[in-house]
Amino acid sequence: MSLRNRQFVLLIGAVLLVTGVASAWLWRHSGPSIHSWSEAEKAVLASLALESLPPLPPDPSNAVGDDPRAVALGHRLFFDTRFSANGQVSCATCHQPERFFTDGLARAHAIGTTPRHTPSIIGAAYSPWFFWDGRKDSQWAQTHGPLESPVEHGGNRTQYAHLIAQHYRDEYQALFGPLPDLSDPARFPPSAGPVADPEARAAWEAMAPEDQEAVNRVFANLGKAIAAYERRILHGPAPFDRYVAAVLAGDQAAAADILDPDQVAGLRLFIGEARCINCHNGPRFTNDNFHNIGLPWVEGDPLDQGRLAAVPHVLEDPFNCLGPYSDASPDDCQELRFMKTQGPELLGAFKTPSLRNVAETAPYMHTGQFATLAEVLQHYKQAPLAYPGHSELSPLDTISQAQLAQLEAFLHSLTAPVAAPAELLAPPSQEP
Amino acid sequence: MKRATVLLVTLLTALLLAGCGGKAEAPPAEKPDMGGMEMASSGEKSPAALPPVTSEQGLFVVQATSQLDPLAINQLHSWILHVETPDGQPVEGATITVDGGMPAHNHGLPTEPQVTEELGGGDYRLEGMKFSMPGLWELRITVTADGKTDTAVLELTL
Repeated sequence: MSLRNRQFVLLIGAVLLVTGVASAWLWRHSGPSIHSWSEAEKAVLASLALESLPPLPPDPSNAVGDDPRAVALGHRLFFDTRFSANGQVSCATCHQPERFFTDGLARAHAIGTTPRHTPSIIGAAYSPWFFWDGRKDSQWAQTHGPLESPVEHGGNRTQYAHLIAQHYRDEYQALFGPLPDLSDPARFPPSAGPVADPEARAAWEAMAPEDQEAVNRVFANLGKAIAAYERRILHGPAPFDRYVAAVLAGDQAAAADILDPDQVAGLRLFIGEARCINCHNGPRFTNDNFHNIGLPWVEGDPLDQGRLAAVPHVLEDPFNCLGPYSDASPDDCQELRFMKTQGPELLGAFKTPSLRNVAETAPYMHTGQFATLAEVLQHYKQAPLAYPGHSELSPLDTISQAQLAQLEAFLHSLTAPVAAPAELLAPPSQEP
Repeated sequence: MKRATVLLVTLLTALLLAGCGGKAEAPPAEKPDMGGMEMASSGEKSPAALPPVTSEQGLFVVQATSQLDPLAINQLHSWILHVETPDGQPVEGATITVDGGMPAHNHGLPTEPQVTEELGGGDYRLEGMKFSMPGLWELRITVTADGKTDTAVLELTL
């Protein structure tokens, strides 16, 4: 090899070395950002962001659902403890504004203890189904469940109608027209309704059908006012939503300030390998559908068929969307008309809850089986067999414990202040 | 030597530029591993009209067109089903039932959709459709006409 050729080879070698070192340095210092997402992933992120939630559509079954007078009446009713058996229980007893409208208990405790865990009402107005098993198809009809449950408010419909007549006559009549004349205690006993208490039940059964119907109408309207209030309790933007906005704007520096690397890794798992998004999808992180996920059966509990038992209940409910107390036309009742009524997957199935504010609303699942998010995530990793029915889960064998911790970190980014006028988050008497 | 130096400087510049170019591009994002399950990105638009499908015994050709365009999860919506014979004659007066689900998850449709109206010309309105998850869905459309029954299996990915 000539000298000239040898020099050439050395020079080539030196250049390659310098280039290699320079490339490595550049790669390390401005290499692949954890905040880089593919276009398809960005579309998924956008689909989860609150920005993609449309304004709350009207509830056709509730003609006063968006009437400010109904909101004001519902606000007072929501906090009014007179609507209970012992004068101490209101909706806010379990749906506590300062706890994201939950109670922090495994199972709700009012007059007694309920078989199920208190769900939040934030953003619930978007859902087609209410209660863990969806046994009510409107927010106003849902209010009837706790009001008549012996372990929640513990009261009954004529008691509530009399309370409306006594304390809210003007507000009620401005919205719904004249109250029936309830003054004859022989026709409208102080305590009557299709409830567990045998005396109240017997009194209800002794009433004339048209008198029952008049009371039912007041009972439905009471629920519609409470629902009008609840419709104003909505989700506010969380750090996750601000992160998505930054990612979609291409502002990785801003994105990095919002979620830490563990949270971003958790988000990547959430929409990918961990498959959470299969059910926790859309801007409320729920598909509003019912799934059996093989939750542990609590010893001593009766067998809970979940959605399977709720289906006939909602079909027969006189307060459903197609019933005489609904303001909807049959065309507005598509969820009920095309409701899934059979199939093995209904057994032991419960509604997918929203994950917004999930880090602040422990314990978890329909009976509060899990005290922490870590326990919840462990359940999804293991995917135990279901009883009753069959679990839709399959084990997350490839997800490590460290990745479960990243998923948990991500879930903390879904916490946000309630989006509601401040005066609605406290009892009316405390209004400024 | 001079010529070689020029060549090398050019090469070096080119390499550095290539390096910078590669760095500036966003790296390809990791494809989510769905554990063998079909997982479509919600970012891709699903076509509102599915390709025509011939029923299992070859009696009917069914074309389904979503009235929600683009298709999306968690929204109740209607479809128009067009049914014809393999030789292109519209099938009228048919009784049609629809079921389906997600083969990868062992669950059916989240609703019970029904054909509520015959529109004429082999068209039928299917109401109450909903998809509650991203991924591969199967629709089984069973047509009974002139005493003959056959099922067309349609697939779509959301």
